[in-house]
Amino acid sequence: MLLIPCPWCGERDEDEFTYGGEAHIARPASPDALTDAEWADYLFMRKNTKGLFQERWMHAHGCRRWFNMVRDTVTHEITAVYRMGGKPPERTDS
Amino acid sequence: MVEVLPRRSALEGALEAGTFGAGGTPGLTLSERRRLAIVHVAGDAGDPAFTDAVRGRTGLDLPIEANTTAAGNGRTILWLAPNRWLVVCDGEESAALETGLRDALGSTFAAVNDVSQGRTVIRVAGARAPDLLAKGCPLDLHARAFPTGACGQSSLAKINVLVHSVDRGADGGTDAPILDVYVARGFALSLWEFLTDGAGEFGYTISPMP
Repeated sequence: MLLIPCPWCGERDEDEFTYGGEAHIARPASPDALTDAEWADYLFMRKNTKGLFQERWMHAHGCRRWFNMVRDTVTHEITAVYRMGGKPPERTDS
Repeated sequence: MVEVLPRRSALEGALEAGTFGAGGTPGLTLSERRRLAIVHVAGDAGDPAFTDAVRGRTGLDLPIEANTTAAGNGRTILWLAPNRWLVVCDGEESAALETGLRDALGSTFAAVNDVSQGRTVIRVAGARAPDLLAKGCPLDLHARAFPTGACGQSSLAKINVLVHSVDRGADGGTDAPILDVYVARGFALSLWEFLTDGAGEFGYTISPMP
């Protein structure tokens, strides 16, 4: 079980959160101009990272806010939490 | 002609006053707080016009810090989320509170909604109150982490709840700790069954419906 630090509520149990998948996927500015392959890439293709992964979470049972989190998919270590619209922190590992 | 339906508790028929469970001195008391006016307020915490209007109507400063409350004059404001609060009044008509807040806010960018009918408030009081809630709630309910005046939304027996730490007995309150559990009306009976079932080992008293 993870102890997830909500940017507003502080550390809460993982049970209170829902997972929102990979973060920082920007909707294309003009979807009409895209090829089917590019549109499919936007809709469906996601990274399957082993290691530090930027992902979205929502504090569903608490303040109901979305936020971003950097989590190691191998160790589950949470290295950063930042608000929606925020920039991901620079990687400090080597 | 609008027919005004009488307000009925979601626990009517289920809440039976008396002492139950393990023998000896009951470890806690369960009761329902009834006839509360509960109004949901949304607005920009950084806008002085908004905060001043709420202060003008309630006499309380909006709690800006997460998971805190402001209380006084029989009123409580609970922090729900950034720019979201619950104003709770005992002994005031919810319609009067709602329209009063709406009038005070005027054209300020804000939303006010009376949710009194949609919430049931169960008061869990007594030495074992935190132990009972801890059976199904991941919140840290220790007095150090959840002191008097704290509040937090979480799940209790998989049900969305808002827990308000009314009194942790720091100043020698007799019934302390007192924890109020706000739950959506439709889940109130289910939660009530969870609480009464879980309280059996501590022994508990149910106060009659006021």
